[in-house]
Amino acid sequence: MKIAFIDVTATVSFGGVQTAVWQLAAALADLGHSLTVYGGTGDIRPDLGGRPIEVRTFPFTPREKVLDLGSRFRRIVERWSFARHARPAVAAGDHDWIVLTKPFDFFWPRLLGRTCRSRFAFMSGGTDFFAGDRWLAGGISAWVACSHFNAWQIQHHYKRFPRVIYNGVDVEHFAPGSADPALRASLGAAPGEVLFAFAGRLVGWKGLKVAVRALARPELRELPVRLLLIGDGDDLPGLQKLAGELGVGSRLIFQKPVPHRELPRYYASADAGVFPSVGDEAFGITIAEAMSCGLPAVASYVGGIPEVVGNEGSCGLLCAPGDAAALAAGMAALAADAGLRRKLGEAARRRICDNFTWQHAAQRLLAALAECE
Amino acid sequence: MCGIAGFFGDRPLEPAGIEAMLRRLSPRGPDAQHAVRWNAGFAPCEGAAPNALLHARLSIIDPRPEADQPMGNAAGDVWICYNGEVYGWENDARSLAAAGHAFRTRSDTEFILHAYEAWGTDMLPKLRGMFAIALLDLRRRKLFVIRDRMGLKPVVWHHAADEFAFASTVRALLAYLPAGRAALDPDGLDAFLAHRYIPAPLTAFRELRRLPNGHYLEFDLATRSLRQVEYWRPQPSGADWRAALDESIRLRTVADRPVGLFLSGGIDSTVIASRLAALGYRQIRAFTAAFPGSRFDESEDAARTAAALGLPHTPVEVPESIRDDFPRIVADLDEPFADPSSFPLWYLSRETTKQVKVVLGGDGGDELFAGYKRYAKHLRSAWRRGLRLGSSGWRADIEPPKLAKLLAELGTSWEEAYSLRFSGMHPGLRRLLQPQRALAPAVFWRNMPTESRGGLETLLAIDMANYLPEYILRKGDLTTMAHGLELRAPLLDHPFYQAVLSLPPGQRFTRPAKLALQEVCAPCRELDLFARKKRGFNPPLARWLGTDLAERYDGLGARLERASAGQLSGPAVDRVAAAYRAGRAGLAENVLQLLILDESLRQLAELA
Repeated sequence: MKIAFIDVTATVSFGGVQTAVWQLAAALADLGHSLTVYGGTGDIRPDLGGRPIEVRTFPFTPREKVLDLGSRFRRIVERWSFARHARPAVAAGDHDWIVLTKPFDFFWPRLLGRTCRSRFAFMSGGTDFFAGDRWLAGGISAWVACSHFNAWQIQHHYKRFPRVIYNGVDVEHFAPGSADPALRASLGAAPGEVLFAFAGRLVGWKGLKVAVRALARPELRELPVRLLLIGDGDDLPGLQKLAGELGVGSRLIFQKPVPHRELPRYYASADAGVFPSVGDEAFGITIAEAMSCGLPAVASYVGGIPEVVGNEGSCGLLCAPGDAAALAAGMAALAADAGLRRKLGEAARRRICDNFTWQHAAQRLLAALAECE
Repeated sequence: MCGIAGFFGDRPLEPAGIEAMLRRLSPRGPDAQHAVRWNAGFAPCEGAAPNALLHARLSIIDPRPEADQPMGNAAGDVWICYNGEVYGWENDARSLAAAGHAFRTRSDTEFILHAYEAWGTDMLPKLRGMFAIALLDLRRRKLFVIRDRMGLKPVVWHHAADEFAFASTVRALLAYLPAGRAALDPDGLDAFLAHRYIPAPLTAFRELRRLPNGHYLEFDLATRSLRQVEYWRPQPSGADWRAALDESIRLRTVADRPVGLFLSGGIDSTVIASRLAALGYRQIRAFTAAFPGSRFDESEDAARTAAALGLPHTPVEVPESIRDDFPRIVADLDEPFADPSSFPLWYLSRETTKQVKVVLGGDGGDELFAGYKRYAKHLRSAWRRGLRLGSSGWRADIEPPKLAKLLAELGTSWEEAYSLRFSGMHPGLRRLLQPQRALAPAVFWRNMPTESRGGLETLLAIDMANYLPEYILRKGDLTTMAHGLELRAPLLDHPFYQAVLSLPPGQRFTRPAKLALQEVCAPCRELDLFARKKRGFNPPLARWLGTDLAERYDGLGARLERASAGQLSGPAVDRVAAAYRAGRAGLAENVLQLLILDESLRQLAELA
């Protein structure tokens, strides 16, 4: 099949959606399909391992330059400006399927018109709904989502229930590795301490204040636990202030964002992952990546996270979102038992390799497209 | 199926106390009762003991005495005390045997014991079915008390600074507490008024808690510390639900005693009957509660279904009068519990157990496929989700004026207001009955959803955490176990449940409800069950309240005020009863609630 991905950001920035586009394109190319990625003018080209994936870029107006009438408006204008330039090439591409990654691109079927034989698939990784998207959604033939939870979100908004393909992880890159004593020391974690790691944006709904409160709970007070937060965000000053108030500042390590490719090195130097989200995570890709590196996770029972971590406690521990005592109990159980960490970490790695690779995601995407044939 | 109990602490319990605990468990396990005791140093002992595991057995698989419990391993340092039935464990047992574990019996009890020895609590994912399990590990000085995922089997527990105890029932556990130490829990009583059952973790007593489904307790025998762990919550699996259903049913037909089926005129039990017939199980006898002459009678419908499927069928006539059995039924319901349908179910179980010892039931279908009318009713007000108007709250009244009621409802969250779609007491009536009680929560449910799910999924999640385990399944467990009958629920098999969770809402939630099931249930379509109005399992309540229980109205208020230590106002109770008798038929279920509470508290006071 001739399959195209349209995402203006794929060639201009790094992130979960962009990773999904490139990894799926690679996995689909390996299955013998013809792949094209349409992106905005930019330099980002991941290592495609020599795969014959055509990359076409076109000019666009970055959202920062758009009149600030809200984030959604800016993103729609960004994508529309891209589409004006890319349209002739996309139409000429004569693709069997065109995969869109954001509702902001739902105008494409109408833009290409009925003369274009290409059909459209929407690969959902969140919500990003906007006024009028339901009307535009009529042009989408196949719907896929990154988790059952996200599928329900889509169902409630568009009244269409997507097939669940799950996100994937590059399990060869995100693999268990040896701890780097120098890195660990530079972070300030002593050899006997148990280092819990989080990577992501430091924003309120990630629930990191709950993790800070957990550090101050009796369950963790006597244990040699440290919390490594890799990332930046609006919540940083509040977290520092709270840690100071609770007297746990010395047990927190703030690390500026590191390149995505560098994360496995940090995970290898940590003992467990902690992901205490209090908002709806559609999937939890950073959790899956940490698990793929062999880290047992303590995470919230919210959104799509249980689908990643599993609900039998064999790969990680789940606790109620916002419940510092429950989070502390989960962290304490892991902190006190190196054997448990090793066992859950190994099972976590197996779970990701067995269920959440990009090859699995590509197969499921093809099955969803085949249902529409 | 069985009754379990145990205690671990400093205080030795005299043999009479141990006997009392076993006696109160014995209806759940009439075939054998045993206690294994340890002294303070955990050496085996007899007579009074500070530590013990107790078991009353109903034998279903491997009825030989070798399979009696409590059961220890060869070294005598790991012990199990187990109530339930797990299925499909034979392959894992074979791997354990290959790894050197020597099995003495064919029982699932011994499988769990060896599985724990080999894998610790990691064996939990391997357990498919219903269970309340106590595992005493003297090697690690730990005790684990585990309740099954869906909540089919009950566990109540007590923890104080120097002791921990657990049991299948409140009444058995009360025998462990020193006389007079058990105090009623005002929240437990209020929860009963609100919901007609007392949801976990509450019980009627402050000193006793109920373990929620999908949780286990880990008690450290050395430090006496207690940890509660949630080991499971459902998640969609994406598996094929049809295959999962057939497997679930097939697994649940395995027994060394005769197996039957509770068959009503409804879709859920008809689906099970239909799959049983399709899978070739045509000797399984169906049993139906019959109310001759009542519009609620479903026995003829059930007979037609059984005939269409070629299953033998026995209608069980529910007696006209419940007067003489009322105290016994209330006792069998353990603590205050007021579902009118528990009465016919108790009678149905009493007769069924004479012919079979295992029975399959359709429990769970309504929660899985949104079969209750209340969902549609409450969803009509879903527009106000997230909105909560300031209001003066509920006025103490039997039935507040409509506008006041509406404003009071708007003053509670949409999720909490869902409680008003049930037959429990609204907050205004609870206030009237408990004038001294400070403002109480609108609901006592646990796991109120925090995610931005759709309205229907939110209501189903509330029901799955509360109504299903603590009302539907508790009723099923208590009324059947009262007669030594094991109830199995194929629709609550967790792989099937998780497969159904993956269904697109358009397939799972239909109008009429449960249309997805028609492809696996030809008789549902042929007998036109989907178009038929849902009747429920409703007994002739007005007749019971008007005649059988009429003598209980005298002094009802005074008795309840005394038994509840003044929490309930006697005059208010009498006012409600008088209003019902004066013609306010809508209060029937509330009045039954009060009559059951009266009898239940009287009985519990004698035991506490």
